[in-house]
Amino acid sequence: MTEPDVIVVGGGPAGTAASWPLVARGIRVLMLDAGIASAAADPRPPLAALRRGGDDAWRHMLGKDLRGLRDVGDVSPKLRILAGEDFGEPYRALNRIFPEGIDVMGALAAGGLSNVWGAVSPAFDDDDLREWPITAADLASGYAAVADRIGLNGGDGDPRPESAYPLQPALPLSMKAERLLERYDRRRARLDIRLARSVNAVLSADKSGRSACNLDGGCMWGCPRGSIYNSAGEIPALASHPCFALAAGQLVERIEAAPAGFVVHAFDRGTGQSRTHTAKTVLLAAGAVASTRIVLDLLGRYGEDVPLATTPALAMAFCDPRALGQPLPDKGFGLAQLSLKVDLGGASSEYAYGELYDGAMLSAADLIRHMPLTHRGAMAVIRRLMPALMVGFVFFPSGFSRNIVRLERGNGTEPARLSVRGGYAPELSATARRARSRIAGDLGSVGLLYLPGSGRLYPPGAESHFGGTLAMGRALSAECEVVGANNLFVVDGAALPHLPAKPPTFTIMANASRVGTRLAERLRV
Amino acid sequence: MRASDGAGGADPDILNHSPRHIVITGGAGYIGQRLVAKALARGLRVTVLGRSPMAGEAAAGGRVRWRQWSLNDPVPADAFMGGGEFPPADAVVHLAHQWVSRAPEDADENLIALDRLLEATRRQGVRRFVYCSSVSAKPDALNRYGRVKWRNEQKLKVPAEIAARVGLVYGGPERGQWGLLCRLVRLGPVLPMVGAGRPVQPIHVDDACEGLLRLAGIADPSRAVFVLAAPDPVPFGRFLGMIAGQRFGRRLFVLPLPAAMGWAALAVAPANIGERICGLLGMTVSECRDDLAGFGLVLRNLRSGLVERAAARRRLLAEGRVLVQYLLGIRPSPALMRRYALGVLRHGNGCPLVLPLVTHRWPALLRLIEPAAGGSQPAEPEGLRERLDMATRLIEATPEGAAALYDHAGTGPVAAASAILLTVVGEIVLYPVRLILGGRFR
Repeated sequence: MTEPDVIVVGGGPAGTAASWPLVARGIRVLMLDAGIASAAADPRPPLAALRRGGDDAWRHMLGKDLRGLRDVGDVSPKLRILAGEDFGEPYRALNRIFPEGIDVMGALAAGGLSNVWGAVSPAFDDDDLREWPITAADLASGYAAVADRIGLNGGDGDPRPESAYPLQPALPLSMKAERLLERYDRRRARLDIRLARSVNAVLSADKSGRSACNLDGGCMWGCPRGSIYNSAGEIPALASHPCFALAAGQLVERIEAAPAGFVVHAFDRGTGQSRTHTAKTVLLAAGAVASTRIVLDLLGRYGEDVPLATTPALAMAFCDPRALGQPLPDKGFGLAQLSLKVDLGGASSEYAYGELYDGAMLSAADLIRHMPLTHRGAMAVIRRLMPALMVGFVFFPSGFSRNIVRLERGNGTEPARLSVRGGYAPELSATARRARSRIAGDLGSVGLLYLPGSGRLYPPGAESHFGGTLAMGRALSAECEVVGANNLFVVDGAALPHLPAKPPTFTIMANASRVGTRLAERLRV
Repeated sequence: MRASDGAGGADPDILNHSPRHIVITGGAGYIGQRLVAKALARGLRVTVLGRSPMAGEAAAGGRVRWRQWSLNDPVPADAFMGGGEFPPADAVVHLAHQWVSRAPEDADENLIALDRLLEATRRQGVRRFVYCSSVSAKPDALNRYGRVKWRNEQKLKVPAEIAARVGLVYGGPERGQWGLLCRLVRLGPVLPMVGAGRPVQPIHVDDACEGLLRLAGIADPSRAVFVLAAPDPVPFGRFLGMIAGQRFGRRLFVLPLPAAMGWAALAVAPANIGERICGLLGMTVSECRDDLAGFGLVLRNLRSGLVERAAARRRLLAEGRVLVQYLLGIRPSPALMRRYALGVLRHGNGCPLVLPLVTHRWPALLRLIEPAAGGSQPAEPEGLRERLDMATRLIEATPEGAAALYDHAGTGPVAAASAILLTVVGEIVLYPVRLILGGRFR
């Protein structure tokens, strides 16, 4: 392609969401993605079949190269098997990210972290957006466009922000979850928590060549049907537009301002050489931490401590005693079934946001490693407990995180390094304990018993929600344009001024769509 | 320049003066033999100065030649010259050292030998001279070895002549001091030892050779002395225990003896041993992180370095059998054992556990020694818990394991609740036993 009008750095959910409105108006877009084109996902038998064992079950459950045996620490179980060689350390090494006391996960694969995300997609309301220079109304068309394009399922008429957007019918819940929701509905007035079906970016009806979820339960081991949204799946559709081109294997290291626009310096992972790409306008969507490094480098902001927002995460395990000793279901949904919200009290209207998973759809080995029993004992317990188990992940707003990033110059000709130090606010443990008690108490009163001792705070960054570094209204304008670098935009998590406890991906995509739309209007004029 | 290998990225300028013809003294020794092999594997031509001809000289296809030399002799005239297919020497690595000397210290053979070598290399204009020194090198070292090494270091003129202070070398064939340590740890289950608490900085022989080769090619050394040793010291007694465990699969208890006994032993020990005891008792820690980073050398992990891969695989197969038999009560198939060994080698740290012998016969006893969970980060590297996690993942993906973990028929709430209760009660009873026994097997 001749020089593109816009370069989009990153083909993850944000970069893709920003590209669509541009491409729809015929603007020439070159997408640079670090992922190298790779083979399609291996079809995998349903979880029920894998669990009856077969001689080859280990290939699917652990990977041909047995990478499921890695000790990846306290991270999402999906990362154990789905994260290949392009995840984690190679991402950090090539992006010059040096974490200390914080997990910074990223992927150099097409689709980025949407290969391993949990797909929960709540929308932010005006209260969530109170620190932003825009309102929910500004994001509305972005949310609607994204929801329409990627397909969300769920909702039950509950008045929630995401109910305003096109939703496919909700996928069935497990019996435990149905029972819980029913009992909750009867007692809700007396409870502090709010519980509802999750809204997930998972299809319940076929759409755009992707198949509807068939409840085979193996979500933690990947979705070869494409039911769970993965932005890599959108590339062929984008590429069918003549004004769109993808340059794969391009890891952007540096962006330089030039008289005619920007020179984007990339490392070509295929050839091992450096390459440059030029355009007047650049949209950065390399992932919050990587994009931050690039922008701070461009602006020459070395040696400066910049706060990084994350949403501290707490795990809790529960048991529904009425489901003990039930046969393990053959079908089920392995991602979040129910979402819950609980106010944190205090001056602001901050809340914690949780997701409840069906424990029966997780890996028994993953559960066993966290039990304070011998492995033999844990095996005996898990066999009876799994059908009754529900696992919760509860997020806290970014006000409770205390992470810092700092850009340091490289030695000689080496690129700049971004050091990332993680930490929590001192008041987090007390707040988390209170929230845990309230959740345990309320859920206990509707028949879901909290397993004492199962509450665990994850290290910073384990949940992979990053933001706040180049916030709208501070380093960026309300249109996400970098202050001091016209025509450079940041549309991933780095642009979010503050992270409420809700998972931010859907909102990041809506914002990226908004910025792409406004930019398209600007460029066409 | 690419950091993708995770090794810290060496500055390419440092490495682009690689020598083409390297002269090695002491090439028949423990380190020397490995160094010669590595240099040949790199495509270098090697001249070995030593007392006896190299075995396998012919086998190296004419790329290695030998010149007769001992520390008491003048340097052969053509040692550094080109000839035939050999260009003139562009680097010398001086490893040869005589531990026992009858001469007075001022006339030590090692001092005289270095004078001779330096004079010859300076006359010939050899670009680089690397003197293999030691972390014991100090003007006031307790052993003559350290004092002599230090005095030799003072003669070197930067930038052409530099010293490598090598730490405690281990790994590879059991020769030299390393061979001595290997024999020591196999003497019995208990080893009384002086200086058990002294800090040593081990370095694998292959890493040491890599470091020496890089120093031979370094373009512009900023200083005269580089340290090739582990950045984090290990107490000597613990190091001996690790050798016993990782290399020989045995438990070793090191009984620390007071230093005074070491001094007393000097009176009766042979000179060789006496020197080493003094060296150990006088050992201090040398700072070396910057040196290693400066030429991009990342030392292998000590535990994995001590393990020999072939022996490790055999022991891991046995370990897999024991762990799976504990978890499932049945012997694993050979394929499952192989997957376990491969998993540990590829994704774990590759080091076999040292499990008590009784558990090989009665794997169920492992239940008594499973470490009580610490909850968060393990302070020790991969231990029994982590290996059991791996084994559990592996059996989850087998028919027998899946049958044990997943109940597709259901037993009803009462049976399930009682089974859980019974198991938990049993675990509570077991807990104090595990607290006592398990701490030793993490």
